Amino acid sequence: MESEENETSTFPVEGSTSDIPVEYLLSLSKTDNEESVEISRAEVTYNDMPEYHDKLLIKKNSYSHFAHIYFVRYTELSPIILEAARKKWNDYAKHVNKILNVKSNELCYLVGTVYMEMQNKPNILAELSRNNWDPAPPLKEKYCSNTDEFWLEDDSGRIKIIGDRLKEEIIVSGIIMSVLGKENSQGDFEVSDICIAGLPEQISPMIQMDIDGDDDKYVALISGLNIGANGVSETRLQIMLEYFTGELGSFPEQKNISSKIARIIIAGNSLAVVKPIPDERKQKKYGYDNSLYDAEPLNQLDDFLERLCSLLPVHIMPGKNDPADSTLPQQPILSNLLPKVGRNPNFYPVTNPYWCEFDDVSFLGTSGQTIDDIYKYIEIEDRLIIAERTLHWRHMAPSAPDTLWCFPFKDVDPFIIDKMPDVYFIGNQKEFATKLVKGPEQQFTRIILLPSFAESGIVVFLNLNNLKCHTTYFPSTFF
Amino acid sequence: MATSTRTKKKDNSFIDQLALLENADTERNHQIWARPSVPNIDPNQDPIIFQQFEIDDCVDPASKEPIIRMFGITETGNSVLCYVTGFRPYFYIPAPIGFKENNIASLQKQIERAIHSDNGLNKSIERIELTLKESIWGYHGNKKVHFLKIIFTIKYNDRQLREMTFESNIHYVLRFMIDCKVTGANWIELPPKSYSLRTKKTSTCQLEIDINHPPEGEWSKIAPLRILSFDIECAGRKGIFPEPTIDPIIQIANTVTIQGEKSPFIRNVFTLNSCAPIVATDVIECYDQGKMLQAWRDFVDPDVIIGYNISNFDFPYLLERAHYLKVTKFPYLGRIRRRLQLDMLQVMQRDYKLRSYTLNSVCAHFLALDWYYTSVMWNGCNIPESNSPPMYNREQKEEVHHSIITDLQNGNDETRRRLAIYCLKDAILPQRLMDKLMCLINYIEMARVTGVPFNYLLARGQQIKVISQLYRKAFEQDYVIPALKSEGTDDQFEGATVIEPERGYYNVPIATLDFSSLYPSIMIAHNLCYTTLLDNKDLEKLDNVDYITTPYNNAKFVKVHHRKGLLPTILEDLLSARKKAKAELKMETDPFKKAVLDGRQLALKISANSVYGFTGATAGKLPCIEISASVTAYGRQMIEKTKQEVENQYTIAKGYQHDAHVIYGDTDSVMVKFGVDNLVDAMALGREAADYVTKKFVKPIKLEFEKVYFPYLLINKKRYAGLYWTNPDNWDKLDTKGIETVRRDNCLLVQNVIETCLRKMLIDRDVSGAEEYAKKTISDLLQNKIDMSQLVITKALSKSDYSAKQPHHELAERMRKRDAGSAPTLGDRVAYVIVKSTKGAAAYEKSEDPIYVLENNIPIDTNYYLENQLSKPLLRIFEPVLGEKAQSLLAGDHTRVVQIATPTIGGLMKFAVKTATCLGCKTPLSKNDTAVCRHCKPKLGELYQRQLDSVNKLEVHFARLWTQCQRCQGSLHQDILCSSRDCPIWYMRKKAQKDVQDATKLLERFNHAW
Repeated sequence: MESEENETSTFPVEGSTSDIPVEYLLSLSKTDNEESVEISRAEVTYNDMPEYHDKLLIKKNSYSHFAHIYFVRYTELSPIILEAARKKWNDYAKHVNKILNVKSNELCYLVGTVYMEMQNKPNILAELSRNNWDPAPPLKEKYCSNTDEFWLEDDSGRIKIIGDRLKEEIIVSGIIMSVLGKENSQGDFEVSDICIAGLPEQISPMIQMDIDGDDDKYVALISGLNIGANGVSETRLQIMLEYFTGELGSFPEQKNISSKIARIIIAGNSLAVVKPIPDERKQKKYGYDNSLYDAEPLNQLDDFLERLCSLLPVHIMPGKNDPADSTLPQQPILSNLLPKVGRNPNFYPVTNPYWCEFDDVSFLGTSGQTIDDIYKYIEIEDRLIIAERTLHWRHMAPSAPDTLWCFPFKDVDPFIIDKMPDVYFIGNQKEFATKLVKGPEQQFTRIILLPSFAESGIVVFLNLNNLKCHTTYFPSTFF
Repeated sequence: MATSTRTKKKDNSFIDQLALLENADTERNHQIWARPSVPNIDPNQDPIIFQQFEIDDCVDPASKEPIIRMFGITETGNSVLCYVTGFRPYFYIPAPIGFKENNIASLQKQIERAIHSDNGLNKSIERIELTLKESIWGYHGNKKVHFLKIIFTIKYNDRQLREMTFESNIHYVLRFMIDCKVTGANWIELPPKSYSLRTKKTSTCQLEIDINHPPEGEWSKIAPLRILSFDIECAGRKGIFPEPTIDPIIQIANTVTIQGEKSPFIRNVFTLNSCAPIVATDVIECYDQGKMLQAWRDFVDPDVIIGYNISNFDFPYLLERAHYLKVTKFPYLGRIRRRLQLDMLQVMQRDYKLRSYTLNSVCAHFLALDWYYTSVMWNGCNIPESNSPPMYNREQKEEVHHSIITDLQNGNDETRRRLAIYCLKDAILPQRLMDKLMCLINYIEMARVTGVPFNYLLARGQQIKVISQLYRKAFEQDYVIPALKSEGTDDQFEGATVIEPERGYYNVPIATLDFSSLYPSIMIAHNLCYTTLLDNKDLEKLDNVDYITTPYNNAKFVKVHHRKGLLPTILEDLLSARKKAKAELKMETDPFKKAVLDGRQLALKISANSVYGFTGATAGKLPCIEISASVTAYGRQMIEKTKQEVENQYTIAKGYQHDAHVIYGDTDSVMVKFGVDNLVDAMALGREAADYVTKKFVKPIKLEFEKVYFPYLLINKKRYAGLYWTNPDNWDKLDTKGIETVRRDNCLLVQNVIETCLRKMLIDRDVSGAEEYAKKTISDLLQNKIDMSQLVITKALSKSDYSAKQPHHELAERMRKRDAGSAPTLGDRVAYVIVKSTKGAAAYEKSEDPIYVLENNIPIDTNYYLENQLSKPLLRIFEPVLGEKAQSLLAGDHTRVVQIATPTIGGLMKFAVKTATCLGCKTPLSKNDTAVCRHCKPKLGELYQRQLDSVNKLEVHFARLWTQCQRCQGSLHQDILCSSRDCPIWYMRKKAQKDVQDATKLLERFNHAW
């Protein structure tokens, strides 16, 4: 886990996990009524940021070529990258505005979309034309291999880029970048330096980050409830719920944290993937088999959210396993699917990715698919670095549409990050991690990787006043 | 003509222009087409040695004497054209009894007189020689008799000759090659003082030589040939096949490679109008059609020209177009045409059996291992080094449909560039294909072995190879060959035998014993030849031990100690060459070279077997039923004998564990069930039995044990499948015979179902799994769940006047009425599916364009697919397993649920009122409900998720397909144009687009349902 030196840690400790000892929980669950003090819940203003929101909502009427989204991406990002490249190299190299106009053996720089040719990428053509009697090749965890090729493309054409410099950089299909180098006699472009867009400017004015006051407000970030999965503890969910209601925890705890939680964001995978257990004898149904449908997990989620929403507003983003689109951006879960909570004003079904502001603190979050896919392109294991890179690329999902399935947008690329959000969270990651990224113009973003709650029992609390965050661990049993 | 070197045009003086040009030249130095300059040659001292690749003949305009022309390359890469004069055509006639030397003069006069009335020449016979020869036909006790060799100065017309002539029906060029011991593609040495150099040249060759002397010599290497691979693009009109008198040629792409080198040293494209630059390629922009053709003509000077369908399209088109444009120097190309030409389409059609022969699918098939080439090439035609990593990926080539070629041409620099890249791909691919399959080397090898000129291999059949070899051997041994007028007879003789198959699914090892090269071996073993055939009247002079009597009609042949037959000698040569190739094959480790060597040994095998075919071809040059029928008769005997021997020897009575049983036998192999249940024992017994039986036969007949099938599915005569083992540890492959899954008039579904069922039966050994799979597929088919690309049937639209109505032809006609622009034209492949129609409608009325079907939701005639496509092949493979029960595959539970699409067009639909139906139970909905009916409302959540699920699957499918096409076309920024109908994802891509839109619409109905 990432910790930072320059921040003094009062309670709650930056990146620390406060364990709730079981016996402590039990003893406190019988709260004395004598000293009952009215604790009111913190409230925040909410802005759904229509400038982003509108792009992420899809009006599904036309499915056409994916070229458009690349085109929009290139048109929007290339001027920024060109500007950066100019600053970096203009003293000693010329810009060539069309990739095809590159001249042999002349130092220059180009801007284009990266395409990576990787033999381990899933390939539907290969799957379909595979001989019927060969077994299917196993799917690889990572796409990258030492035979990968890099290409840089603009609307005039593409050129192969080579050189060791490429190996030092995190590069993924679909990012826009600039390369400095020369075309060799083979027609390959030998890269000697790389330039990417760099961090954008901040959305909202600077937050005073060193204040620890009484009026702290928290946003709870959760992902991966995995309701309905085999072997997942319902107790853990129960304990968490009680924590939010204030039934658990000492008075200071309630005062300091629980009551100050203004919002909850659930970042995807609220439901588990339901795999019907294959039954040999039952397989003979030719047609739709309604016995395969299990409504129970959805009902459980409905109940859980109903209780949660009676306390405070909950923003729920769909994830890979949830009943929503499988392509990005995922549209809000249909509220009718959750009849009990569906009409509750505290229930906010939202998109994935999701932009919003609470008390002028801007949030950008995804349910994790974006980073999971980039992870496959590179050898680096540290997902925090990957998340940080996406800010530098100014694009949260460059591998869409090539390997990360997305809607074929015509006039927008909703994944462009044109402004720095204050908080950038990624759901359903392997473990909790956080980092404060700072840019040269004092712009900053708090990056948070959220682990799956069902597996780790961890909920992340972010202090809106100083962007510090801490985690709380919820055990999976009372004992 | 302007070259697109990236030098900016300025207003400058002539000197500057020159400087610019020079600059331009150095910049693209590696793209310059120049042969090494010719060394100084002194005809009195230096020999000229070259490899000839093409031999043809012409007539001296003055003397009317025929002249042989040999085209070739020297070791240093200089092109040579060698004129050989003085080789006279001739033939033989048997000399009449009592004919003497002094009769020659008067005979000559008489013949001259007979000919003169025809051609008005004074002297057409040079001389007549009295020679001692022997007819190849029959054994005459090794006695030579007098033959008259009539030698002409001009080419005679053998059709005017009566019968009784000998060796009159052989082609002049081949005659020359035989007499001078020139074989296909061999090296020719012209000794000093034997030749003269021509100064006034008539061709583009660097050296032109006259020689009046038979050249000699033979090496085995290959000269540094320059191979040009090219492709042209025409701007056609919509819906009309391009016509050279109307539609211009707009691009010509070329690559030139030196034989043996990995990548081309020239890559260029001639474009009409400007074109954006292409990496590592010379773009030669021309602004006038005629000038473009001329520029291309001036550029071309290869030794070998290859391409795809160049013989029937590109070359004729170029010539006719040039003629139309009056490019006067262009027909000169006609001479270039006589250079070695290898149309890869012809090669493919000749040598490989494929589902489709489009360049696209052929490359997908053969360059499969080479994903690197194919994928990288797309990206601007940048050719990588070799050592590409192998991959299972089969890349398809982006195919630009010809209807948009004109649009691309009329666009701008960039669209023309895109077209140029497409054109370049088509020029590069034949070269790749040729390298990969080593066609050139294999053909050269074949030309050498059989002694025919290179172009015969492609243009002529098997017979000419046998003829060439027969004449050569005859020439050496003073035999003459009668020129029979071929008269096809219908006399059939009994063919190969088949031991009645005991059909079934064998889950025990079945050993296969094969006679290696059965027919050639029989001919060698029994010395069967024209020259050994005995006439009954000659029998008296011979003892019983001197000849054999064959099982056919008591035909008799003398034994080897009297005379060794020519055919056995030829066969021995071929078989030993094959043995050599097989030995090399064993040593080779590289999988691809292995395949090539395998191809070579197969070619030799075919050549050897064609000798038998030659003797049996009643319409051929020299049929001899006694030989061919004897061969098959022996073959039948041997198969029967093998069965007996094996079944008598391998018995419990003789100490073996089981009684062996022959379950099937065909032509040259028998399948033996030894009764053992494991591979090790089966293989040991197989080997032993092969040796045991071999001893019972005359040498070189040999029974070999090669493989065990386990399990083995014996369907019928010549129809079986089995898992093929040559070692007890790992199986080699799944082998099938006669289960034709690659037939083109089958849809892919058939191939997939059959192959998967076979896999389940034979590899997984899960017969019930196979049954289940077949049922599931039928169920899916009836429920409309099969992807339509699986149901598409394709056929080429060939002649425009079919007497019998054909589905694809009818469809093309209908499509033309709908939209002439996009309708398939002659030569196009028409893809269709069979759709539901009125009862009893013929198949040709029910064919429909898949795209049209998709767009209008026309229901597929699933029953047609079940009954006419699936049922037969399925029953075939299941009957041996299930017997009578196999019929249950086609009926039963799984066929009860049927779903039919609702068409949006056609007859009644105009009057139908569309009513939304419940998404749960299909009840028509009242106006207030949008998604489901009252009764289904409680299930709304479930139904929504079900629909969502299918939308999700479709969305991912859509995304995967359309991004794959982006990868293939090598561009993220451009829309997908590809229209390769052979690509397995083409229809899928279109269908995915439509399906996802429809499904999303349905899903939206739920939004208002609660």
